[in-house]
Amino acid sequence: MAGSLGILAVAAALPEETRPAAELLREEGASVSPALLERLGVQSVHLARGQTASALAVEAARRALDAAGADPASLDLIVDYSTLPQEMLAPAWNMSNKIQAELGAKNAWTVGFSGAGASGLLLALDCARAVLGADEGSGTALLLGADVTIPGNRVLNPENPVAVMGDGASAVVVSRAASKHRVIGMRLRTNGANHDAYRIEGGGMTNPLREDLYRLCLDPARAPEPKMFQSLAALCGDLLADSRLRRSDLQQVIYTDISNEDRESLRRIAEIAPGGMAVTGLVRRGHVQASDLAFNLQQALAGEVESPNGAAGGRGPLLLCSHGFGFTFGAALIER
Amino acid sequence: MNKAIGILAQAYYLPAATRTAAAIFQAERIPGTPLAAAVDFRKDLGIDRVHVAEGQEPSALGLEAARRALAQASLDPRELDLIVDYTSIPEDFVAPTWAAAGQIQAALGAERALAVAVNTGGCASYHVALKYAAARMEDDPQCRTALLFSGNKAPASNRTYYPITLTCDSGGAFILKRGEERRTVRSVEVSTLGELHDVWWVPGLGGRKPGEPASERLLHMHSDMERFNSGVIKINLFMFRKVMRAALKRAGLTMKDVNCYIYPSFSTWDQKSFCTGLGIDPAALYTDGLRGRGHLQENDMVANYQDAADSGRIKQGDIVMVTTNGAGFTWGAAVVRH
Repeated sequence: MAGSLGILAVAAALPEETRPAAELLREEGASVSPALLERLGVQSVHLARGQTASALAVEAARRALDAAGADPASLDLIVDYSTLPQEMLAPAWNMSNKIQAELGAKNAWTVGFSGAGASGLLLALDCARAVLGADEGSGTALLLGADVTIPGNRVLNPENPVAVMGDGASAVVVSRAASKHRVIGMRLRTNGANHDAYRIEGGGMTNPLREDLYRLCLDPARAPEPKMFQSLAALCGDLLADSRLRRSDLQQVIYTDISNEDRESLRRIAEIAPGGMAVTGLVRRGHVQASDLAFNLQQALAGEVESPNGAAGGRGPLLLCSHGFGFTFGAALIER
Repeated sequence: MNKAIGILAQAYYLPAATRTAAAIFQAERIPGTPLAAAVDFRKDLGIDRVHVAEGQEPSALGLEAARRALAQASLDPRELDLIVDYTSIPEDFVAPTWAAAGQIQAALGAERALAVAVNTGGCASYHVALKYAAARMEDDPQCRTALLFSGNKAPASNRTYYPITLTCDSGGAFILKRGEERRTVRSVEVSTLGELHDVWWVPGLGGRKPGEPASERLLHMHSDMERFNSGVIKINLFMFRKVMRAALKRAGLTMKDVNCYIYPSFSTWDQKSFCTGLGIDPAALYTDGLRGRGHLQENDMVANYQDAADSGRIKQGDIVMVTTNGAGFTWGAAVVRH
């Protein structure tokens, strides 16, 4: 990894309205039980009522830029890591351009990525590191993701719920010049066989008129399954080896908020000690796609989450990781 | 570029079936009234026919082009380190949740590759993908070979982007290799003007009005021609000049050094405007692709470059300027030493 960068600021924007997960599960036909609620680990999620994903993204971006003390005009690059359908259909339209205009980031160019799911932030970090390293300019980028669920599609696979999805946006300001929170290592890999494990079948060119299929689904035959967690654990192991670190050197493992069950599966397969993964916002936010990692990173950098040994605020590196439901696997090491 | 990255191979695929422009204009009810005193859209566009994919998904077009590029390079897909999908119009399934990158990775058996998809730039997605891929190859010593591909298929009854062009279904692909001495990518420049994000768009099911039923029209390219004329046209040549000069400056060259311009196949009057407005000798602009196939979205770059090289219009050592604009709004320029 030739280029390097550090994180100047992370910010979130969550709609004010919240609703209990149990209500949403019932509305979408799931059979609600204490065991299900324990397995999912979500009490409530935020709901955008009439607020667009791009409006949330602008809010998060402004907060992140303020926290970083960065003028939007100083941005060289804007990277969109959103997962869910936007106001208009990608790739013909992408909200990063609208956000560029609303922020007045007149010197930036925009790039968005599709298909990385919950690992989108890691892909965006990787892109920023490479592009900022290759270009002239101030070397500052804004990474952002904003997701508003399809109406009636807050529960992933209601017949056997995998996650309860909330709305929200996150933004991360990174710079080559940042002296702290440096990204010291990164690994990404994809398994093309699972390209369609997480998808919306209706509304694209294959099924343009199938409104009934216009909802996010996870193929239960392919995810979640043990191999997915094994692959992520192996990727994290390779990254630690790259950096000559051991798992015990990590201050915290920051992971995606899909469910308690998902988190426990990774913890068990990756042989992380009980309590060894940072406790995050799953309970009150649910799964907000790739923004989960940003929200949890924000809390970790602020010392607001518990570390593996229960002592918050240590100086060891953070490990961010996500399995992207078996397609895009990513992990990054970040100095605290 | 600090390290030599060259285009090892490039290929495109056009479905066998074709339709005449006249038949499409009739089916899509394109007006016959003159656009301006000197321009009659139907007569002066300069496109006779386009290719039409029947029974093939957009990703299948990209896959076929990718296979052709790999065959041309005699490259085993297992040697690929990076795959970048730069498709710019609606794909098989809904983006950004899904993209064809992983499907192509699986179909090719490119197990080692990282498969990603860029979803910005419109027709300039070629440049967005090239800039990203080249930067990543410079950054990561393990990333030596990259496949960039795109597969575009127009939704039913949406081949005419009136009054701009007529679109053709296509797949396009090119392979970048570190250390390749031919077709070296000397620089890539991308510039976006976000305030023009709403000039061209596809609503999708997510962009429909309350109560509006699903229809294929929701996958059609929509445009705001007033904003196009007052926003894009006003600044278009300035932006082309800006990105081309910046790309040339990075490469240590000037406009005088350019031997051939590879530019999109929109229309005869657009090509003329590009040359006249920027003082470019029309003989330096490759235009042969327009009449027989129309506009291939971002694959114009691949097809026009390859055809220009095959026909002898581009010779070894020539400086090639590959440039376009696209929805977003985006302008891109790449300098290649052939």
